[in-house]
Amino acid sequence: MTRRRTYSHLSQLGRKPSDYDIATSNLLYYLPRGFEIQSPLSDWYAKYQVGSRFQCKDWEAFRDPSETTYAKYTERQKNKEVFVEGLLRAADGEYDARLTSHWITVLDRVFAPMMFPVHGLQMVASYVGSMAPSGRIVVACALQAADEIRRIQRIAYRVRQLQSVHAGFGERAKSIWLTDVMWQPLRKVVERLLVTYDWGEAFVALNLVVKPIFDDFVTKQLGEAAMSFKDDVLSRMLFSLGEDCAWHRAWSTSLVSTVTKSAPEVESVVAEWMDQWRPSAQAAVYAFAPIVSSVVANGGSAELQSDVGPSSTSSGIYDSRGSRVS
Amino acid sequence: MLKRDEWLDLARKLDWSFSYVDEREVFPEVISGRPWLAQDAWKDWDEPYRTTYAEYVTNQHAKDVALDAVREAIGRVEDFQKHDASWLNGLKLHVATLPLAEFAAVVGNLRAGRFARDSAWRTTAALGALDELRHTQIPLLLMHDLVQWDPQFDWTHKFFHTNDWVAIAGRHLVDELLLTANPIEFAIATNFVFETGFTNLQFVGLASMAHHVGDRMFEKMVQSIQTDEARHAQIGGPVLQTVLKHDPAYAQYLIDKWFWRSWHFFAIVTGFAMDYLTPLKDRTASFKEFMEEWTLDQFARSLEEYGLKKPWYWDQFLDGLDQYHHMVYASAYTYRATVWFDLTLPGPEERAWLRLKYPNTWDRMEPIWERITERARQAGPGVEWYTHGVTPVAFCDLCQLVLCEGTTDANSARTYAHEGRKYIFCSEPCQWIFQTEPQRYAAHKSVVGRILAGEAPPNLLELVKYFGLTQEMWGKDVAGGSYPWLVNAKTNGA
Repeated sequence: MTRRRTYSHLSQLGRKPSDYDIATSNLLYYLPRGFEIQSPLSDWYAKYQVGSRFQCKDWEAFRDPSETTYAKYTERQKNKEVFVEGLLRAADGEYDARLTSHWITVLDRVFAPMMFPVHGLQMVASYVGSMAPSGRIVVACALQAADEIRRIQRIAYRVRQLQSVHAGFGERAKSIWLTDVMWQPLRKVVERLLVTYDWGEAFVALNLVVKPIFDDFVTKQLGEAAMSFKDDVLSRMLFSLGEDCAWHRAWSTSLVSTVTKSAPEVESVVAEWMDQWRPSAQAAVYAFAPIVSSVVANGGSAELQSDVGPSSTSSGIYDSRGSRVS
Repeated sequence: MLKRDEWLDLARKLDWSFSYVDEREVFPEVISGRPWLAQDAWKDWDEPYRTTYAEYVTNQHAKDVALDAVREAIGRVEDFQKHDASWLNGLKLHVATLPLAEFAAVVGNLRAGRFARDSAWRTTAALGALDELRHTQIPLLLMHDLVQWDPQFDWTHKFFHTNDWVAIAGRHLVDELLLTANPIEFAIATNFVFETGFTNLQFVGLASMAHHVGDRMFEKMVQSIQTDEARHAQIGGPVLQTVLKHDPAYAQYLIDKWFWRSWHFFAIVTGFAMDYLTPLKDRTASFKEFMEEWTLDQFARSLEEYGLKKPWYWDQFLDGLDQYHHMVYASAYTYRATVWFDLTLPGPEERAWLRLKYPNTWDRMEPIWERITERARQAGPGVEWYTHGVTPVAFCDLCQLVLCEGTTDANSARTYAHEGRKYIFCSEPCQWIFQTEPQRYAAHKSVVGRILAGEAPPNLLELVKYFGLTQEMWGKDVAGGSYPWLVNAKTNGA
């Protein structure tokens, strides 16, 4: 008998298994055997996971291009947090006092309330993870949900810093989120995402449409506006948070390409969902145009641009920033 | 820098009233759990022990670095080879039941990360999902190289994918407890009962034995895992508090059900390890003593703090504490080819120790081991089959474990007819759990049910293949029947 070198499920790999292979392969034992009990959620899984039109012959073929394991993740994120903490340390009272009152008004309206929708994105990432039919997708979603926690906490931290210099800053964040017309299109999208239970549609809507558009708005438009108002701290912090979003996009692109390679017919399903979600996601971000225009009028250089690629139906699938994902 | 408490609250409470969808649509009862209460009822949910994301990744990275250093120093195959053979088999039992169950807990925590009824709860659960991912990956990575030396370590990953009877029982538990539980049942069953009530048996009890054995790798691994559990287990208390306010009978039901189900799990995984597979010289206390110290006292106290009663079957449970795992172990030893680890035949000194630790019940177990020992002596070393059962045994239709509740002279098995089908249970609590929610359990087939339905072979040798075992893998006597005390020794351990 040949000597065993690895776990039996990895024996056909044809190479030495990496930590990612060992730690993320075949982790969901319930597929395809089903649950041992008749759970009240059996029907839920039958309808929204097994019954989804987002299908793949071999879900195990999906790989996160960064091969992120838990240990790799905490190391990577710890280093990013050290960087951001350095930035925030620089934002002392003097720094915040120098920011213009106009910029503070913008941040009060656009930045502080952002914790709420990002929490919604955190919830949907958790949902997609709980329903995903491959362990590696579960892993990516769990880490993505954690990234959203990071984003929320960094916003909260910065809000508190600004509050100590600009009295009342951020105190209306929740009521702005709930009532300000500028936020309502996004709020509608996030609330609709929360009740999108088909796991495939939830994944496509979240990671191929809503997040690319929203994340871009936050990282680029808001980041550039920050830069133009000499708020380097925020601009750099948003850049660091944007790196997380770039990873969300990278693994999602990889997932879609895995799926459409195995089941080309799913391409049109993905395109259909993207077409359904795109207009409202775009509208949600366009709603901020007036305030970003006012930034421009007040000496800033940022503009809210239509940064949306060709229609998914033309040829291939593009995420909402126009990059081809399939 | 600002202190954590100066800003973290801003990020913790992020629920809002929906305008474009209905709250009941966002949190359907079937997946968010009962009692269904409007968010307002949960808004004071509070985790006593706060962590920021930055602290989380920083501390967790440091823990992984520390564990890596231990792995570098003492995690090679040669380091494991030094350990006592029976301890290593306890290790195989543990590491098989761990990683994929932990991954089911990732899924359960992610569900809570979406459907738990307060944002602070959801965030704590999402970080809990990351913890459980860590507990999935650490043992898979640590045990990986050991398969080169001992193929039974392949079950570290394989176990939950098989039809082995222990795996069927494991899935029956884990599917309900972790994989498909709604956040309320998950918080009470997993965070409160399982993690707060029982896991210290492993983290403190078994870790101390690992220390004595000299298995620093296992000791450090479970200790490192424990520091995570302590953080996310705190989800249970505040959830329990709210459920108690609105539906105390349901809270009590969940406690009673999950204490029983968890007890059977730990009786096997920890009971076997502590009372049989740890070398006698390294046992710091018996399984029962650890249960008394870490589960009974502490758990009973915390029930009292919440105004809950002890489970209704408490006396039956206390009786079982003296014998249940002994009965299952004797059954497993005589059916060892049906499991993926080797078992030890307790010798006279071990049996004397067991009599000392279990004075009320060991007299009933002793004759069983005398008979097995006599047969082992007659067979001589290397002959497994003479001390091995040949016909499949019966399993409980709830816990899916062998019918081993009760005593050798008073079997507590019971039957129950439900919608034209007859079910058999090892105990009254198992039957009670079944009867309370038959829709969850009635369709399931135990191993015997599968044999009768033609889905599994009746012949034991064939059945073992159905379990996923080959001769190379299946359990044997840990010493191949060669015990110094077995030749010309008295069989009586008294």
